[in-house]
Amino acid sequence: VTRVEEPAKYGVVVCEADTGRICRFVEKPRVFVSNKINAGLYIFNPGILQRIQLRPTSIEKEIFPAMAQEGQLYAMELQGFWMDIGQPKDFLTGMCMYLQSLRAQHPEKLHSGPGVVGNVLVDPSAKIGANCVIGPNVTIGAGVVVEDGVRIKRCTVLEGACIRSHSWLESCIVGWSCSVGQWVRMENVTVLGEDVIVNDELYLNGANVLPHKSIAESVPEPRIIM
Amino acid sequence: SQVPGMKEILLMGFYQPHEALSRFLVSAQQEFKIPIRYLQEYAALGTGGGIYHFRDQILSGGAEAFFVLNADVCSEFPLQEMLEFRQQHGDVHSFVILGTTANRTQALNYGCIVANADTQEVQHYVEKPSTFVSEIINCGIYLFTPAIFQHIGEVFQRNQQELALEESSNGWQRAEVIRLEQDVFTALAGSRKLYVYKTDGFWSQIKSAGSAIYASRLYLNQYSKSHPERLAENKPGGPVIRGNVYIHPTASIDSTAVLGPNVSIGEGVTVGAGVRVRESIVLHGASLHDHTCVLNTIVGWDSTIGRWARVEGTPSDPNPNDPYAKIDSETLFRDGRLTPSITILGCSVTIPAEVVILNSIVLPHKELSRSYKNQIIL
Repeated sequence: VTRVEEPAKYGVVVCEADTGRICRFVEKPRVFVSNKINAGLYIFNPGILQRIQLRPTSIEKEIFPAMAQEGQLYAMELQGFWMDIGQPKDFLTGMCMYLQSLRAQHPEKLHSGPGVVGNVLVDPSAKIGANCVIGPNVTIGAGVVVEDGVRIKRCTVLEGACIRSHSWLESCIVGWSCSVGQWVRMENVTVLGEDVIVNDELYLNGANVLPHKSIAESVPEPRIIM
Repeated sequence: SQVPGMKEILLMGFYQPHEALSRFLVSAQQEFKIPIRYLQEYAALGTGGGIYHFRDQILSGGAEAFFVLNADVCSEFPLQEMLEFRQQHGDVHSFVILGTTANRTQALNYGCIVANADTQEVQHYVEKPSTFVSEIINCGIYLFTPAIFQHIGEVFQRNQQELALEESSNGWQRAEVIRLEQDVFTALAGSRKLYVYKTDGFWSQIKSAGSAIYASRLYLNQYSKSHPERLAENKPGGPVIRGNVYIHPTASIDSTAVLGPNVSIGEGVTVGAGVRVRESIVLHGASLHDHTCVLNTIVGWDSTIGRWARVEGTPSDPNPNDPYAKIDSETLFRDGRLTPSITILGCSVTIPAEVVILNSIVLPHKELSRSYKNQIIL
């Protein structure tokens, strides 16, 4: 389990304070029950397999409640950072947390140099051009090419992508093998699927673009492009 | 100034004279070697009232004819051709209106002219009719003789008589408000004194600030045909030029910038590394820092745009598929929201780095601190 600020968004765990034994689960409680939620990491005895029938089963909804009643489930509070990264917005937040922990534990793995600000992770095979300012909170994958004069903040750039010169990116996820044109501005959790091409001089605000699409017009307000 | 026999240019307006205007008059006189003066109307007197009020100034020096050009139009200004047309079609006492073709829907927004197909005499004139009259519209460019003042004078007398019936203190001033189109042309139509010279050359109204971008494109296009040496060219070590671009000789442009099409860079402007400017006018003294992107925007005098900022507007061009389509004058608001239009930065505006300014109008001397979209920033 992990402690969160807004437990009502998740499945909450109620457990005995001293033993850690789980009494019950409450899914998305409307009143405050506990601030500990299921972090999604489990360690089981192989015996649990006896409890599961051969059909589609939700372990949290069907198996755990019975085990909790029988006193067979215990909770351990996770130390350190945790984030549900199902949503792109949360993925970026989680990325920031991860980079922060990297700074504390293995700062030598982070990128440094002229034009690097804050926590930045760059794959050794990536190429970054002149006069760029990268960071804070940027991860750049293998084989990525970032041309001259690019500004990237709080983004994930996946393997094989290319960001052409003079573009400006903040809070984005750039998918594998994408090509982002020159003088493009992308912000507000714009997500590009695999192999998306963004033409020069466009403005993408919160665009969620499905794979293999070509974007030829600006997206001034958040929407899904498919 | 290239029309032979042109003796003097008078600028007439309701604006207070100020330093920028005086400097403009001085430099224009030096460049064109012709006397130029500014006459200030004491009140807004309509399209005819001003010239009637200053008729003595206009006729002093014994002018046998004079052109009246509305300042809010952009055109090839075929003045020489209008003079020749008058010699062929009318007589020395005729008046000529420059006309052009519009499409049936948009013609209703202008003065509509019905002309005799052979003589080009104006048989009927209606200003902004509600039903279709003619596709030939009034360009706001006229050739008059001193005799016009007689006709305007008749309107003035009529106004005075009507207003004398009312008891009001500013009656005399209101009598001087004369509309050339509704009051004078409508009456002159069919009297064999008024003629229309139709032109196919480029023409557009410049009613909104954003229309200046469209007008600039027409003028730059004209230069590419008549004065190509005025436009910028791609040179090694210079910025990349696409299409028609004007760069003032004192501007300094980084060699990695990409300018055009339809860009005008004013005096003393600095354009930094990796800057992209397209469909925009950058007025003198402005400074565009590295990696900025300026599209469909008018950047005011001495403004600054910070690094990586994006300043963008929305064009309102007429339908490119219709050769006679004219630029629309859109209302400022539609359905309670600001209509997307050309972005305008007033003089001495500061745009910080890394923001986006979209479809917005920024009043002079503002120092912005964040992004803005679809707003008027006071």
